[in-house]
Amino acid sequence: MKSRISIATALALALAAATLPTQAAASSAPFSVGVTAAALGSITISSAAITCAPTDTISAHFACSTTTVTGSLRSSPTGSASLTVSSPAGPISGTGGSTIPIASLQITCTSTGTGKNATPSALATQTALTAGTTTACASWTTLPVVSSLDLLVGFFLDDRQVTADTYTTLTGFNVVATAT
Amino acid sequence: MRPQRRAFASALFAALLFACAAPEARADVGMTVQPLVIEFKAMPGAESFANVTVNNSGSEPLRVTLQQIDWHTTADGSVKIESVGTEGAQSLDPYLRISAPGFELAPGETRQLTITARLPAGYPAKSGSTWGGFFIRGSRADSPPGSFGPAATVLAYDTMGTPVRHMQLTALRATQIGPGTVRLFARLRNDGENFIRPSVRVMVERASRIVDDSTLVNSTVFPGDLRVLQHDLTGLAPGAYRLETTFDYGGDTLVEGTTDFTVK
Repeated sequence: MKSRISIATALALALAAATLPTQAAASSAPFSVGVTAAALGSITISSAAITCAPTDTISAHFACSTTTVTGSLRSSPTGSASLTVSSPAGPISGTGGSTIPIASLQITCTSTGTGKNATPSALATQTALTAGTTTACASWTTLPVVSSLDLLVGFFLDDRQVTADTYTTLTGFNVVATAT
Repeated sequence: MRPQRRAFASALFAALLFACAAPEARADVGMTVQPLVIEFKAMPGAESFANVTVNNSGSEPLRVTLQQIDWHTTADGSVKIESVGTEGAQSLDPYLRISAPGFELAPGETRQLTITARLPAGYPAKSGSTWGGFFIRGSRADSPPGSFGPAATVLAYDTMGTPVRHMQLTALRATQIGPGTVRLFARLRNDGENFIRPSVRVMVERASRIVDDSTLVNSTVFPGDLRVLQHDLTGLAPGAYRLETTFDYGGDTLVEGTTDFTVK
């Protein structure tokens, strides 16, 4: 056993000597390591459109399509980070003159992540979108705010007031990364 | 019964048309923006610069558009995007410029932008802060402008001089809201001249033992604003507890608060 250890030690020393000859020969100099880690947001969404196909007239929260949000978020040292959904002023207009207000749409955000600090401090549950601004989807307030994003954002429609019409696709919706 | 059937049929008709009107959903539209926060110390008559990189981290060509915004935080800490001018004299937007209003990126491509803050020479050189920023929106290059996609805010601050930072803790309590779960409520007010990002260390003690120790962060609290914090403490066994909070708002002092509570 003793000889095995000696052989292993000798091999390790020989390997170290073989791989580090130039470092051993060179004069050493102190050096510093600088790290710059800026607040960043990286978002990838799995769907470039949200579609809604209500099949009844009685649902306050009819499920539309969903999108997964992956990526990462890092806040400033003492700031928080959040994911929001921005909405246009709206409304969604039909060619026949009908309209669907933005507030008829809701979001539910579900954390599916298992990464470091992946679980948000707060998540939206069938929260109505606010026209012309952002609606909170998820926020992180527990240090360190360095999160691997893996969220499912579900959209819902209150279809109880939706009348039959040909509705034009409305642009201006985004999943937004914010850090303060 | 017949009217109900007609209503259902109408709704179905609307739904199908609505669905058909939407563009085909396709995958992996991605964007990385950094930094998300810029802090200038621009002085009247001088320019300050900051670089922002935008990367197409998805698999599809990306159209990037940039829009100047005002913004504010609400009492619950949410960030609200506002139209330019909403923040009045506190808006930095009239003095912010960005090197490109929009562009396209191939998958993997990165573009560096420069944001310039230039206060005019006649700008009042009094101690204080202003804020503004940009909304950076990405969408598939072959989709209509403004289509659903990823976005990020780049929030910019400018601080002149050394405005005083200060906060007051105006309320602190802990209330049991469920089995083993207690909700911490704290209300604070920024009574200083500068924005603050208060962090709070929360320590829960039971029978001289620390049973929870965590640090919470917050979004920016602007001068004069209130902030209400909520934090749930879970998994607490029945008994008497002491909650100690220590707020670090980046000023000269720390603000402490203590409250006792019982879990039944």
